[in-house]
Amino acid sequence: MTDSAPLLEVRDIAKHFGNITALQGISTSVNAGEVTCVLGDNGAGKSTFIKTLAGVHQQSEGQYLVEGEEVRFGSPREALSKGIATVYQDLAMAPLMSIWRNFFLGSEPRNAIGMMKTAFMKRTAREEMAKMGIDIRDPEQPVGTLSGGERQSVAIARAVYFGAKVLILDEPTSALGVKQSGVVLKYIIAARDRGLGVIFITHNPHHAYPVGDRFLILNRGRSMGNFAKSDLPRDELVKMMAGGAELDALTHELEGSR
Amino acid sequence: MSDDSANVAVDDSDVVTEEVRIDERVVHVGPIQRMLTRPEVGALLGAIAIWLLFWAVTDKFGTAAATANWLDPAATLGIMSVAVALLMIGGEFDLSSGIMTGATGITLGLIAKEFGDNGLNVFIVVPIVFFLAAVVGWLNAQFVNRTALPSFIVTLGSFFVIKGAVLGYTKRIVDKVLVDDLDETAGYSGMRKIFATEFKETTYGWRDEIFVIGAILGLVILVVGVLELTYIRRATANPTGLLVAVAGVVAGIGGLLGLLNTDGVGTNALFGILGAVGVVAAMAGLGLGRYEPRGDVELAAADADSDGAPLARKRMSTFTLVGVALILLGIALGAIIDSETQDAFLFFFTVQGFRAVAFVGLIVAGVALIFLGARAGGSISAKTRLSLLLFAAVSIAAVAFIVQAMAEGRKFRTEFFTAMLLVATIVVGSAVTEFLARKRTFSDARADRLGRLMVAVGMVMTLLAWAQRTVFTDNIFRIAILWWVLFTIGATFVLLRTRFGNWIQAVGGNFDASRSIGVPAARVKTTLFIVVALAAALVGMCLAFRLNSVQASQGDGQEFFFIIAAVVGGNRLQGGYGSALGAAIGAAIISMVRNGIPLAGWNTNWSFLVLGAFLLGAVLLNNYVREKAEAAR
Ligand SMILES: Nc1ncnc2c1ncn2[C@@H]1O[C@H](COP(=O)(O)OP(=O)(O)O)[C@@H](O)[C@H]1O
Ligand SMILES: [Mg+2]
Repeated sequence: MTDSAPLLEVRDIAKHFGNITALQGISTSVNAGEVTCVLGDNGAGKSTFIKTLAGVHQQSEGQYLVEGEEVRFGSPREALSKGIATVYQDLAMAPLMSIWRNFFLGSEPRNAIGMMKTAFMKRTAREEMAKMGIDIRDPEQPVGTLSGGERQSVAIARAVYFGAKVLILDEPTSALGVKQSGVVLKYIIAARDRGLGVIFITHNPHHAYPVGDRFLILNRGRSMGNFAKSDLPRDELVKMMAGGAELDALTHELEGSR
Repeated sequence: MSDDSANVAVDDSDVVTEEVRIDERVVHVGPIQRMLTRPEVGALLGAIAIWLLFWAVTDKFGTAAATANWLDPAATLGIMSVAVALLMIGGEFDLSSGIMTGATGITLGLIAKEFGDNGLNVFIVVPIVFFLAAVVGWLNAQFVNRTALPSFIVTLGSFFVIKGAVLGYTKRIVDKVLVDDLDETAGYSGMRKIFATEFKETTYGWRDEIFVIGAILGLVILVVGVLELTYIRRATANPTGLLVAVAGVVAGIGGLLGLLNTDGVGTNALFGILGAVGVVAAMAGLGLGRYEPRGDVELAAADADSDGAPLARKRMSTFTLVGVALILLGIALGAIIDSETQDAFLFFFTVQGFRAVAFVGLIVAGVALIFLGARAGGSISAKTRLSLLLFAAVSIAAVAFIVQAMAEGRKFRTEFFTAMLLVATIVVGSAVTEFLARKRTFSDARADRLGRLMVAVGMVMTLLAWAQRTVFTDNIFRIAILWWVLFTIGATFVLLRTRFGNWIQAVGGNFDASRSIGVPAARVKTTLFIVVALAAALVGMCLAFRLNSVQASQGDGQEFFFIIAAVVGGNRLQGGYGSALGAAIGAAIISMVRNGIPLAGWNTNWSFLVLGAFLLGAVLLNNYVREKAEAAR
């Protein structure tokens, strides 16, 4: 393992489902303490891409490297054991269960006689949330009573606590209002500042640009470029996402028809 | 001081706990509020109301004989409802659970009597039956897991399969639809000890003394626990306060001994007053000695609190006064219920029926109003609160005396009278303590732990004291009750304190999510189906060894009562939320209704109406809770 190797890197990845090509020729990377944004319209292949990273799918072609080592994950569990944690859109939480129960779900710490260490769990859940800058006053509160942004933060804090090195977030802001989205962007930055590599999927360039260090843009399963922030002014990103020339034509058409 | 030495000590964990011991950022939720968020609290209040209703309108309800009568079916129903509740929290149903209680019994009988030439020893058969039951549970689970069909439909299928199979092979083997004379089998008496021992305990000399001392000690521990959960601990104890408390305890004990050992109005009144003063002094002394004083500044501040204060005070006063009035009216009405003439066909339309319903209804409405009042008056001044509580206490005491003078039934004249005076005394004590000590608004781990432990110990002690008085009479209590209690405790422990319990709630709450995060969701469901089947086998054995015979149709249709008991106990029909203790209480409610209605001389058809109303009420309540919990802002 070399120091210069990125935390996670893909080279020319392709994914076929039968004769459907969902992804073709995708390359990007994420370093520790950086955010790589994956942008694209609906159906562009964003979810397929991160599912491949997360071990749900296996790539059909190309190389997948974690800390410079080539890997091929058979299951999400394997990816997790390499420190690659994914927060899906549905957040993997039970709404009627308390914050601390959800926080440790699936990895509950136990004492010698098999009881859960409830005091430790409540305390830790609160402390870890506090580190993300969110003040949970009562860890007994059901997750369902939290706001959408707060629930995202529980999922993120959980991934971070369980030793994630790379955090993959699938459209965490798509269901949220402006203010809540801002909150989630802050957690992304908080995770980045704690030294994690973050892969942030979104179709909103205004959410991506402020936090991203690197941008991978997908369109119909193909890469439209993998840019460092310095190479890509904001306007350019917005334009690419809006469909650039296509949108110009559409605007023209709509206005002309009046 | 001691804190410093803990910090100097190298042990890391000690330092950490010292830090979190008093954590002002964590919201402290008071003992009553904390209790109200538990799913079983509705069922508990319902059970108390039902018990009071039948206690008031019948002579027998509440006696040892009647208690044994309703506890018996409650035990078998309760074992099943707890198991079904676990499964329900895990998101599934088992409609074959009812018929399984009969199928296991029949299978036991058939193998034990008809296997080979002379049958088989039941010590071999019982394990076989449990194993077969587990296989049925496992099969149910496999169907549900593999097909992802609703368990409702899958287990409806297995219900018919089992029912048909039992009828078919019973008829074929013994040419009847029942197996009887189980006592002819080898090993019967030994197994009967495990599943159907009857405890017939005769009265013994110290029964009542143990009841009085145990109940009072339990109550004291309970009250002190609540204080510990409510008020701020002082850094060092105030010796004057503790001295007052000790004096109060001595006076209380003196009053009690006096009451127990003397007869006659004059001495009773004297010792009664001594005891009451003792209790109030003990509580006030503890408030002064152990907890931080409230101080005049804070009293003044609360009084002068912003614009909302006068309104809040008015609302709280109104609510509390009306609430107290309703309760007292209810009690007074209840006291003149004449329990001799209970043979009316349409009980609810008689004067007795009206009084009985008013008795419970008014008390419930009154309690609800007082609770609402307490919430409305968040920033109420301590003085107003004190005067309200004192008013409540005085009225309770006054009505107690009226009841004693007017009531016809003995239990109203003595038991109820004593209980009301005790309540009045404790209310006065609480009022004085609240006036003296400062309430806690932050979490204090050590005090919380101690307080919770004391509340639990106090409740258990009081309950045990009462139970021993009920059990040690000339009535029969069966061992199934013990299995029920143990199973409920075990299931509650699993649900609240173990990883598996966490998984049950998660699998029922969000199946896909829990699986994607590494919970073996299918395995959890399999285990739950097997637990239900094993519980059915246990109940089947209890019934078979008690009745000495098993009908093939036994248990048929009972599955709905298991589900009703679980839902009435606060378990969510759609899964993800619930309580094993609640399911046990739900079973007790159903059993009380079924037993109380004939005792009251009502037409038993009412029991279905009452059960239906309970079910609807419980579903509405649970639905409300879920909506509140799921509503994301
Ligand atoms: N399991 C699958 N089998 C076949 N096609 C799939 C599968 N998963 C995704 N696809 C296809 O891949 C394309 C990209 O989908 P997706 O990754 O979900 O896009 P996005 O998340 O960017 O909206 C879609 O056209 C979809 O039909
Ligand atoms: Mg997607």
